[in-house]
Amino acid sequence: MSNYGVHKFFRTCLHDKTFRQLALDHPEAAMAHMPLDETEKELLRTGNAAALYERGVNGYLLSFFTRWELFDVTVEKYSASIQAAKDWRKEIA
Amino acid sequence: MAEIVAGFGVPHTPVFPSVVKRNGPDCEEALLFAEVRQNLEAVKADALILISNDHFNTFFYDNFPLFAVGVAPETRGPNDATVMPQYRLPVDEQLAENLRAGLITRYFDMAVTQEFELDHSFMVPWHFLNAELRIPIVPIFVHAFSDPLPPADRAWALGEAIAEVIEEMPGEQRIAIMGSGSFSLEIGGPLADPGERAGTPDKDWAAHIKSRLENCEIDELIEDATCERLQRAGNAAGELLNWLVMLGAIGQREPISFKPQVSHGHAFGIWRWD
Repeated sequence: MSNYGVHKFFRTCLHDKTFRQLALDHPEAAMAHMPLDETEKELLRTGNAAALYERGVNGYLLSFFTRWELFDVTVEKYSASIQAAKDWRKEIA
Repeated sequence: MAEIVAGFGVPHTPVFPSVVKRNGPDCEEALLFAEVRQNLEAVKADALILISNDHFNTFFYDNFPLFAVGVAPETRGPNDATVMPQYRLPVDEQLAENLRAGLITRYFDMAVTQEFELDHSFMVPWHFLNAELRIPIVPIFVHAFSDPLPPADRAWALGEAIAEVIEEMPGEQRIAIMGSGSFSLEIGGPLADPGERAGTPDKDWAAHIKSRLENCEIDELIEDATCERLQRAGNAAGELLNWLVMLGAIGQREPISFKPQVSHGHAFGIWRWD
Protein backbone atom coordinates (compact mmCIF):
# COMPACT_ATOMS: atom_id res chain seq x y z
CA MET A 1 0.00 0.00 0.00
CA SER A 2 2.30 2.74 -1.25
CA ASN A 3 -0.37 5.34 -1.93
CA TYR A 4 1.72 6.26 -4.95
CA GLY A 5 -1.28 6.38 -7.24
CA VAL A 6 -3.24 8.69 -4.94
CA HIS A 7 -0.27 11.01 -4.57
CA LYS A 8 0.27 10.98 -8.32
CA PHE A 9 -3.39 11.71 -8.98
CA PHE A 10 -3.36 14.89 -6.90
CA ARG A 11 0.07 16.02 -8.03
CA THR A 12 -0.87 15.58 -11.68
CA CYS A 13 -3.97 17.71 -11.13
CA LEU A 14 -1.65 20.59 -10.20
CA HIS A 15 0.89 20.14 -12.95
CA ASP A 16 -1.27 19.03 -15.88
CA LYS A 17 -4.23 21.29 -16.67
CA THR A 18 -5.64 18.82 -19.18
CA PHE A 19 -5.65 16.05 -16.60
CA ARG A 20 -7.14 18.40 -14.02
CA GLN A 21 -10.02 19.23 -16.33
CA LEU A 22 -10.52 15.54 -17.00
CA ALA A 23 -10.62 14.93 -13.24
CA LEU A 24 -13.29 17.60 -12.91
CA ASP A 25 -15.39 16.59 -15.91
CA HIS A 26 -14.88 12.83 -16.01
CA PRO A 27 -13.33 11.70 -12.73
CA GLU A 28 -13.70 8.00 -13.51
CA ALA A 29 -11.72 8.45 -16.71
CA ALA A 30 -9.07 10.44 -14.87
CA MET A 31 -8.72 7.77 -12.20
CA ALA A 32 -8.38 5.13 -14.90
CA HIS A 33 -5.13 6.83 -15.97
CA MET A 34 -3.61 6.37 -12.53
CA PRO A 35 -2.26 3.29 -10.74
CA LEU A 36 -5.13 3.16 -8.24
CA ASP A 37 -6.70 0.09 -6.70
CA GLU A 38 -10.47 -0.20 -6.28
CA THR A 39 -10.38 0.83 -2.62
CA GLU A 40 -8.43 3.97 -3.44
CA LYS A 41 -10.83 4.84 -6.25
CA GLU A 42 -13.81 4.47 -3.96
CA LEU A 43 -12.22 6.63 -1.26
CA LEU A 44 -11.46 9.32 -3.83
CA ARG A 45 -14.92 9.04 -5.35
CA THR A 46 -16.54 9.57 -1.97
CA GLY A 47 -14.12 12.28 -0.83
CA ASN A 48 -13.16 10.25 2.21
CA ALA A 49 -10.14 12.28 3.27
CA ALA A 50 -10.00 10.70 6.72
CA ALA A 51 -9.71 7.16 5.41
CA LEU A 52 -7.11 8.14 2.83
CA TYR A 53 -5.10 9.93 5.50
CA GLU A 54 -5.30 6.94 7.82
CA ARG A 55 -3.94 4.78 4.99
CA GLY A 56 -0.89 7.07 4.87
CA VAL A 57 -1.69 9.56 2.14
CA ASN A 58 0.21 12.80 2.60
CA GLY A 59 -2.07 15.48 4.08
CA TYR A 60 -0.71 18.26 1.90
CA LEU A 61 -1.33 16.42 -1.34
CA LEU A 62 -4.65 15.12 -0.02
CA SER A 63 -5.86 18.68 0.51
CA PHE A 64 -5.63 19.21 -3.25
CA PHE A 65 -9.19 17.86 -3.15
CA THR A 66 -10.18 21.38 -2.16
CA ARG A 67 -8.08 23.40 -4.60
CA TRP A 68 -10.50 22.62 -7.41
CA GLU A 69 -13.23 20.90 -5.39
CA LEU A 70 -12.39 17.57 -6.98
CA PHE A 71 -15.18 15.02 -6.40
CA ASP A 72 -17.19 17.98 -5.04
CA VAL A 73 -15.01 18.18 -1.94
CA THR A 74 -15.23 21.69 -0.55
CA VAL A 75 -12.98 23.04 2.19
CA GLU A 76 -15.82 22.57 4.65
CA LYS A 77 -16.43 18.97 3.64
CA TYR A 78 -12.73 18.24 3.61
CA SER A 79 -12.17 19.76 7.02
CA ALA A 80 -15.02 17.81 8.57
CA SER A 81 -13.54 14.60 7.23
CA ILE A 82 -9.87 15.20 8.00
CA GLN A 83 -10.59 16.45 11.51
CA ALA A 84 -12.14 13.08 12.26
CA ALA A 85 -9.08 11.15 11.10
CA LYS A 86 -7.17 9.11 13.64
CA ASP A 87 -3.73 10.61 14.20
CA TRP A 88 -1.27 9.75 16.97
CA ARG A 89 -0.32 13.43 17.20
CA LYS A 90 -3.82 14.38 18.37
CA GLU A 91 -3.65 11.86 21.17
CA ILE A 92 -0.36 13.28 22.47
CA ALA A 93 -1.49 16.88 22.10
CA MET B 1 39.73 31.95 0.73
CA ALA B 2 35.99 32.13 0.16
CA GLU B 3 33.91 32.89 3.21
CA ILE B 4 30.37 32.80 4.55
CA VAL B 5 29.46 36.36 5.44
CA ALA B 6 25.91 36.14 6.79
CA GLY B 7 23.03 33.82 7.54
CA PHE B 8 19.31 34.42 7.19
CA GLY B 9 16.13 32.57 8.04
CA VAL B 10 12.78 33.42 6.47
CA PRO B 11 9.39 31.82 5.77
CA HIS B 12 8.12 31.06 2.29
CA THR B 13 4.37 31.37 2.81
CA PRO B 14 2.97 31.23 -0.72
CA VAL B 15 0.25 33.83 -0.18
CA PHE B 16 2.71 36.50 0.97
CA PRO B 17 3.39 37.96 -2.50
CA SER B 18 -0.36 38.46 -2.91
CA VAL B 19 -0.73 39.80 0.63
CA VAL B 20 1.98 42.41 0.11
CA LYS B 21 0.67 43.33 -3.32
CA ARG B 22 -2.74 43.91 -1.75
CA ASN B 23 -1.67 45.61 1.49
CA GLY B 24 1.30 47.62 0.29
CA PRO B 25 4.90 48.19 1.34
CA ASP B 26 4.06 49.18 4.92
CA CYS B 27 2.33 45.94 5.86
CA GLU B 28 3.98 43.66 8.40
CA GLU B 29 5.21 41.06 5.93
CA ALA B 30 6.68 43.67 3.59
CA LEU B 31 8.59 45.32 6.42
CA LEU B 32 9.92 42.03 7.78
CA PHE B 33 11.22 40.98 4.38
CA ALA B 34 12.58 44.51 3.79
CA GLU B 35 14.78 44.30 6.88
CA VAL B 36 16.25 41.00 5.71
CA ARG B 37 16.74 42.37 2.23
CA GLN B 38 18.61 45.45 3.55
CA ASN B 39 20.99 43.18 5.44
CA LEU B 40 21.47 40.88 2.47
CA GLU B 41 22.37 43.87 0.34
CA ALA B 42 24.68 45.26 3.02
CA VAL B 43 26.89 42.17 3.20
CA LYS B 44 27.65 42.44 -0.53
CA ALA B 45 27.42 38.73 -1.15
CA ASP B 46 28.62 37.30 -4.45
CA ALA B 47 26.39 34.25 -4.08
CA LEU B 48 23.45 33.10 -1.99
CA ILE B 49 23.03 29.50 -0.93
CA LEU B 50 19.29 28.99 -0.54
CA ILE B 51 18.21 25.97 1.49
CA SER B 52 14.61 24.91 1.34
CA ASN B 53 12.29 21.99 0.68
CA ASP B 54 10.35 21.19 -2.41
CA HIS B 55 6.60 20.51 -2.09
CA PHE B 56 6.28 17.63 -4.59
CA ASN B 57 6.86 19.96 -7.52
CA THR B 58 10.52 19.74 -8.55
CA PHE B 59 10.72 16.25 -7.09
CA PHE B 60 8.11 13.57 -6.50
CA TYR B 61 7.87 10.07 -5.12
CA ASP B 62 9.14 8.64 -8.39
CA ASN B 63 12.54 10.03 -7.39
CA PHE B 64 12.83 11.99 -4.15
CA PRO B 65 16.30 12.73 -2.80
CA LEU B 66 17.03 13.38 0.85
CA PHE B 67 19.47 16.14 -0.11
CA ALA B 68 20.04 17.59 -3.55
CA VAL B 69 21.80 20.53 -5.17
CA GLY B 70 20.83 22.30 -8.36
CA VAL B 71 23.77 22.67 -10.74
CA ALA B 72 22.93 24.74 -13.81
CA PRO B 73 23.57 28.21 -15.27
CA GLU B 74 20.06 29.32 -14.43
CA THR B 75 16.67 28.19 -13.28
CA ARG B 76 13.13 29.56 -13.15
CA GLY B 77 9.99 29.54 -11.09
CA PRO B 78 7.62 29.24 -9.46
CA ASN B 79 6.54 25.91 -10.91
CA ASP B 80 3.59 25.35 -8.58
CA ALA B 81 0.93 27.93 -9.56
CA THR B 82 1.85 30.27 -6.72
CA VAL B 83 0.33 33.66 -7.50
CA MET B 84 3.44 35.77 -8.04
CA PRO B 85 5.61 36.87 -10.98
CA GLN B 86 7.54 34.29 -12.97
CA TYR B 87 11.30 34.72 -12.69
CA ARG B 88 14.46 33.46 -14.33
CA LEU B 89 17.21 33.18 -11.72
CA PRO B 90 20.98 33.04 -12.18
CA VAL B 91 22.63 30.06 -10.51
CA ASP B 92 26.28 30.12 -9.44
CA GLU B 93 27.01 26.93 -11.29
CA GLN B 94 30.66 26.67 -10.22
CA LEU B 95 29.83 27.10 -6.54
CA ALA B 96 27.00 24.60 -6.90
CA GLU B 97 29.35 22.04 -8.44
CA ASN B 98 32.01 22.71 -5.79
CA LEU B 99 29.44 22.08 -3.09
CA ARG B 100 28.15 18.93 -4.73
CA ALA B 101 31.62 17.44 -5.10
CA GLY B 102 32.87 18.63 -1.73
CA LEU B 103 29.84 17.37 0.16
CA ILE B 104 30.04 13.95 -1.46
CA THR B 105 33.64 13.60 -0.34
CA ARG B 106 32.38 14.44 3.15
CA TYR B 107 29.96 11.49 3.03
CA PHE B 108 26.81 13.45 2.16
CA ASP B 109 25.09 11.62 -0.70
CA MET B 110 24.01 14.72 -2.58
CA ALA B 111 21.73 14.15 -5.53
CA VAL B 112 22.16 16.52 -8.44
CA THR B 113 19.65 18.08 -10.78
CA GLN B 114 20.87 19.97 -13.82
CA GLU B 115 17.48 20.81 -15.33
CA PHE B 116 14.97 22.01 -12.80
CA GLU B 117 12.51 24.67 -11.74
CA LEU B 118 11.76 25.89 -8.23
CA ASP B 119 8.53 26.10 -6.28
CA HIS B 120 7.37 28.74 -3.81
CA SER B 121 9.75 27.52 -1.12
CA PHE B 122 12.61 29.10 -3.04
CA MET B 123 10.71 31.65 -5.08
CA VAL B 124 8.94 33.56 -2.31
CA PRO B 125 12.29 34.40 -0.66
CA TRP B 126 13.68 35.26 -4.10
CA HIS B 127 10.72 37.54 -4.84
CA PHE B 128 11.09 39.59 -1.68
CA LEU B 129 14.84 39.51 -1.13
CA ASN B 130 16.74 39.02 -4.33
CA ALA B 131 14.58 39.82 -7.35
CA GLU B 132 16.28 43.21 -7.70
CA LEU B 133 19.71 42.32 -6.31
CA ARG B 134 19.87 39.20 -8.50
CA ILE B 135 22.65 37.60 -6.46
CA PRO B 136 23.33 34.22 -8.10
CA ILE B 137 21.92 31.41 -5.99
CA VAL B 138 22.73 27.80 -5.25
CA PRO B 139 19.56 25.86 -4.41
CA ILE B 140 19.98 23.07 -1.90
CA PHE B 141 16.94 20.85 -1.43
CA VAL B 142 16.27 19.20 1.93
CA HIS B 143 13.66 16.46 2.26
CA ALA B 144 11.91 18.34 5.06
CA PHE B 145 8.28 18.09 4.00
CA SER B 146 7.38 14.41 4.15
CA ASP B 147 8.32 11.56 6.41
CA PRO B 148 10.78 10.19 7.17
CA LEU B 149 12.69 13.39 7.85
CA PRO B 150 16.46 13.48 8.09
CA PRO B 151 17.58 13.82 11.73
CA ALA B 152 18.25 17.32 13.04
CA ASP B 153 21.90 16.59 13.76
CA ARG B 154 22.30 15.42 10.18
CA ALA B 155 20.92 18.74 8.92
CA TRP B 156 23.29 20.61 11.21
CA ALA B 157 26.21 18.47 10.02
CA LEU B 158 25.33 19.23 6.41
CA GLY B 159 25.64 22.92 7.23
CA GLU B 160 29.02 22.34 8.86
CA ALA B 161 30.18 20.46 5.78
CA ILE B 162 29.01 23.31 3.53
CA ALA B 163 31.16 25.68 5.59
CA GLU B 164 34.17 23.37 5.27
CA VAL B 165 33.81 23.19 1.49
CA ILE B 166 33.60 26.96 1.24
CA GLU B 167 36.61 27.49 3.49
CA GLU B 168 38.69 25.31 1.16
CA MET B 169 37.65 27.20 -1.97
CA PRO B 170 40.25 29.54 -3.46
CA GLY B 171 39.39 33.15 -4.18
CA GLU B 172 37.64 35.85 -2.25
CA GLN B 173 34.03 34.91 -2.87
CA ARG B 174 31.59 36.25 -0.27
CA ILE B 175 28.71 33.86 0.29
CA ALA B 176 25.47 34.36 2.17
CA ILE B 177 23.33 31.43 3.24
CA MET B 178 19.61 31.30 3.86
CA GLY B 179 17.28 28.67 5.30
CA SER B 180 13.57 28.93 4.66
CA GLY B 181 10.50 27.44 6.29
CA SER B 182 8.07 27.27 9.19
CA PHE B 183 8.45 26.01 12.74
CA SER B 184 4.81 25.04 13.22
CA LEU B 185 2.45 24.57 10.31
CA GLU B 186 -0.05 21.92 9.28
CA ILE B 187 -1.36 21.92 5.73
CA GLY B 188 -4.19 19.59 4.90
CA GLY B 189 -3.78 17.29 7.88
CA PRO B 190 -5.88 16.70 11.01
CA LEU B 191 -4.01 19.38 12.98
CA ALA B 192 -5.21 22.14 10.65
CA ASP B 193 -7.68 24.61 12.12
CA PRO B 194 -11.29 23.39 11.94
CA GLY B 195 -12.95 24.70 8.79
CA GLU B 196 -9.59 25.64 7.26
CA ARG B 197 -7.04 23.93 5.03
CA ALA B 198 -4.11 24.90 7.24
CA GLY B 199 -3.25 25.96 10.77
CA THR B 200 -0.50 26.61 13.28
CA PRO B 201 -0.97 23.78 15.77
CA ASP B 202 1.98 24.35 18.08
CA LYS B 203 2.76 27.98 18.78
CA ASP B 204 4.55 26.93 21.98
CA TRP B 205 7.06 24.97 19.93
CA ALA B 206 7.64 27.98 17.69
CA ALA B 207 8.20 30.11 20.80
CA HIS B 208 10.58 27.48 22.16
CA ILE B 209 12.64 27.63 18.96
CA LYS B 210 12.76 31.41 19.22
CA SER B 211 14.13 31.15 22.75
CA ARG B 212 16.71 28.54 21.76
CA LEU B 213 17.95 30.57 18.81
CA GLU B 214 18.06 33.88 20.63
CA ASN B 215 20.10 32.28 23.41
CA CYS B 216 22.31 30.41 20.97
CA GLU B 217 21.27 27.06 22.48
CA ILE B 218 21.82 25.16 19.26
CA ASP B 219 22.90 21.84 20.76
CA GLU B 220 19.80 21.86 22.92
CA LEU B 221 17.60 22.73 19.95
CA ILE B 222 19.04 19.85 17.93
CA GLU B 223 18.33 17.52 20.84
CA ASP B 224 14.78 18.86 21.15
CA ALA B 225 14.02 18.61 17.44
CA THR B 226 13.36 14.89 17.17
CA CYS B 227 11.35 13.68 14.20
CA GLU B 228 8.41 13.00 16.50
CA ARG B 229 8.59 16.49 18.02
CA LEU B 230 8.63 18.08 14.58
CA GLN B 231 5.68 16.00 13.43
CA ARG B 232 3.67 17.12 16.45
CA ALA B 233 4.22 20.73 15.39
CA GLY B 234 2.62 20.09 12.01
CA ASN B 235 3.34 18.36 8.74
CA ALA B 236 5.44 21.33 7.56
CA ALA B 237 7.36 21.74 10.84
CA GLY B 238 10.26 19.73 9.43
CA GLU B 239 11.17 22.92 7.63
CA LEU B 240 13.13 23.82 10.75
CA LEU B 241 15.74 21.50 9.23
CA ASN B 242 16.35 24.07 6.48
CA TRP B 243 17.20 26.59 9.19
CA LEU B 244 19.46 24.07 10.93
CA VAL B 245 21.50 23.55 7.76
CA MET B 246 21.99 27.31 7.56
CA LEU B 247 22.90 27.47 11.26
CA GLY B 248 25.37 24.62 10.89
CA ALA B 249 27.10 26.59 8.16
CA ILE B 250 27.46 29.80 10.17
CA GLY B 251 28.32 28.16 13.50
CA GLN B 252 27.08 28.97 16.99
CA ARG B 253 26.15 32.64 16.79
CA GLU B 254 23.42 34.84 18.19
CA PRO B 255 21.11 36.54 15.71
CA ILE B 256 21.25 40.31 15.38
CA SER B 257 17.52 40.23 14.69
CA PHE B 258 14.86 37.58 15.27
CA LYS B 259 11.25 38.52 14.63
CA PRO B 260 8.55 35.87 14.90
CA GLN B 261 5.09 36.00 13.42
CA VAL B 262 3.45 34.02 16.19
CA SER B 263 0.16 33.40 14.44
CA HIS B 264 1.98 31.92 11.46
CA GLY B 265 4.44 29.79 13.47
CA HIS B 266 7.49 31.15 11.68
CA ALA B 267 10.09 33.91 11.97
CA PHE B 268 12.56 36.18 10.23
CA GLY B 269 16.15 35.89 11.49
CA ILE B 270 19.38 37.69 10.61
CA TRP B 271 22.89 36.59 11.57
CA ARG B 272 25.77 38.97 10.78
CA TRP B 273 29.22 39.29 12.31
CA ASP B 274 30.90 41.89 10.11
